[in-house]
Amino acid sequence: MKKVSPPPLSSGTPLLGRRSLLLGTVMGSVSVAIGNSVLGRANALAAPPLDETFLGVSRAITGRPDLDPVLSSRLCAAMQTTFPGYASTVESLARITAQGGQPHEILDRSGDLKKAFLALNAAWYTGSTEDKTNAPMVAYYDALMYQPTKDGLPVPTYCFGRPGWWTEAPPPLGIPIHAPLPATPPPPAPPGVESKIPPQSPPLKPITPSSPPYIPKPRQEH
Amino acid sequence: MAKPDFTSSGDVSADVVVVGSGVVGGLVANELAAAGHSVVILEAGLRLKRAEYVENWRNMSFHNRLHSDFQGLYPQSPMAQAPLYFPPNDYVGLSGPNGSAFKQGYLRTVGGTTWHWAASCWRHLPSDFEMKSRYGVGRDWAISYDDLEPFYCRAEEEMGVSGPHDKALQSPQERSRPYPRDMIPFGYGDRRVAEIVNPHGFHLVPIPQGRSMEPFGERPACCGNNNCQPICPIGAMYNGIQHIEKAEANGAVTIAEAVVYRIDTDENNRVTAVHWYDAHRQSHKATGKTFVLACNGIETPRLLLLAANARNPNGIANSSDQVGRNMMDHSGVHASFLANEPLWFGRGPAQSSCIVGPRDGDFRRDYSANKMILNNISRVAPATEQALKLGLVGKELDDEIRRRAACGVDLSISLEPLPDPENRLTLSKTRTDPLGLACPDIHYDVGDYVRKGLNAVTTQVKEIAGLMGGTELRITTDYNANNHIMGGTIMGRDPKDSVVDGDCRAHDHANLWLPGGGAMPSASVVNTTLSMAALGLKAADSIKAAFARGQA
Repeated sequence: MKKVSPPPLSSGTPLLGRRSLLLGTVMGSVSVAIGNSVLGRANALAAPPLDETFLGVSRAITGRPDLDPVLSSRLCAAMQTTFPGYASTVESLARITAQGGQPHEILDRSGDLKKAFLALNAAWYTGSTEDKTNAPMVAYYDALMYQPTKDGLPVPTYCFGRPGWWTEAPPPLGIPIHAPLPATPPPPAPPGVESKIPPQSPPLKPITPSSPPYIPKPRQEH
Repeated sequence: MAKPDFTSSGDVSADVVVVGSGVVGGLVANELAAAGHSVVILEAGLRLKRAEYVENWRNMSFHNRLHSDFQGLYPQSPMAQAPLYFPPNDYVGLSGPNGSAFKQGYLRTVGGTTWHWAASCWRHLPSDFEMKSRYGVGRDWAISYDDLEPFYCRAEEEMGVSGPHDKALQSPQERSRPYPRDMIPFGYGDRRVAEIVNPHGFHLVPIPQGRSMEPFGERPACCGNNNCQPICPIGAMYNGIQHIEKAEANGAVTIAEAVVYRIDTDENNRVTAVHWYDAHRQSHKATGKTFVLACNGIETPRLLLLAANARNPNGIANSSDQVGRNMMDHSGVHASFLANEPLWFGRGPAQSSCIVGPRDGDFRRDYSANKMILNNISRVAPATEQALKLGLVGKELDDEIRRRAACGVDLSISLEPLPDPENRLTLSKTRTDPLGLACPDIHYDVGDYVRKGLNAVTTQVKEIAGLMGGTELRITTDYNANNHIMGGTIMGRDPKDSVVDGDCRAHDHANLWLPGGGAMPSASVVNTTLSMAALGLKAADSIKAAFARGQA
């Protein structure tokens, strides 16, 4: 969606305060349509609403100009529920994204805001405000994490249309098997609060098969 | 069509009273209702619709879905708790060296836990029935594989199992009838892994599954929605609710939100009635000729202990003191790694193939067998979590998710604990449910047999990862539960050391049957449901025979 540009103002348009606008909306049994158009004009005169700033920041850090504004509004509201004072965080992020650039360029110059950028980006990918038990969620199918594999993997609970589709050849991977990892070490994961991830061993060294190959005893059929 | 009789106060009488409405209760109820007996089914939990579960799952937070919160989408009756882990509700108190390995996810709801199974329909091996006589460990069953084999066939036919018609891919191969449907065809990942590992003796075979490529009865064909766990969105997977509905079509009546808490017995120790609380805490009574408790491996022994009465002070069916002992599950681990080529797990049903090479062999004298399911649940969510932790954004993030999702491998590995009387379910002395009934406590130790088995698993997993050029190989270091609860009402020939006989009939009570996982004296390494269903059908036949002899 394109940015909403201010509608042209005619000289005779009255400027209404927020309270009278609300009244106009709530009580607008006479002319809802008129009330809405007045609301739009008045908002256009003030600073851009948080939703709009949030959408702009989100598009910049995800590198996706096509983010859904409705979903964005929901995520904006959920982020504010999860993170106190999030509105001012969004404003700070917007000052960084205003200079433009690719997502990694924005991240590189984000300084103290890097964590906030990554958290916002993660929220778009997971559809949830954070990676914690019962964290507010706004998207399932539309979570961005499903986009990179949408040609090969259905979003679970949905399917590719007909029984047996999975027997067909999957799409080519199309990217190097060993993707370059970032030179700087990754930031620590945000700590979970309520449920623990199952503990795992440290990375283990696989055994390369020698010749002749190891053959476990086949089970005996009786 | 025989129907139960209800009184105006809400009491009921029927030929057969079935407590529990899961796969076993549903199968038994359907068999007996179809045979012309009046049947009432009492279920502690709620009756809800598939669509609600699907919506609840889709609306769940990412973290819950990533870490398999398969319980949270199933609303619970306020009167009948079941375990929850996000966050934990501590309904089941766990203790012992491996208490945390017994975090079972079972449902108390009409249709039971097969709402969120993956429909693996394995048979035990013939040797699994004779662990003591063949390998000198564990216990023998009171019946042989051959005794149960016809009921395995019937269970497969009832549940619409698709399994390999090619004998070389069957585990076990001893079958008197073919699978009702041929195997669910492999996806690319299964084919490729089989190609790589099978020359090294790992024997990757198709999992026999309760779903099919063509409609089965009223069940639609599987469309590969990849969400078997925790809910098949289209009803293509077998769920216990299907036999509840069949039983109802044959005249059975299901009462939901009915928490059974008391069992009456007469001077011959025959069961005469069970009592339940309804959703308003009002008590009602179900009288009958024959009683079947099919409440899964935890709630059945809990109920037997809760229902202790003057003639049975240690609990119903518990003159042997074995009720609640020998608790088992396929305590398992997960191994994950990134292969050096795309395998694209996540296409098709959530479980498809399994490594069964280490399922049996002489080593079972010393250590546990295992099986390794090549998990086919989409790797997108874990890939996303891993890629996000790397601090990537934009195209680099998308590529990393794609690479990790396409190349990621997860093996779900099951081990076989031996029956140990010290692994015991008891009634909590401190915690009660909302009705004031004692919650279950379970003490659990996987035992050295499993610990030694895990050493073999670790070596085998390293070999598999090596064959596939694996990196980032990790094995979980805590055992996880697999919800295959066994042992608590163990089967045996001797009433002094077992609870039920080969028909799952209680030694102590001539008209009480306890079919299901609790009866199983050996765990094997395969998912229990088909064996539970077969035991349920065998119990149903023995109930029919008892009716025919006028003994039920």
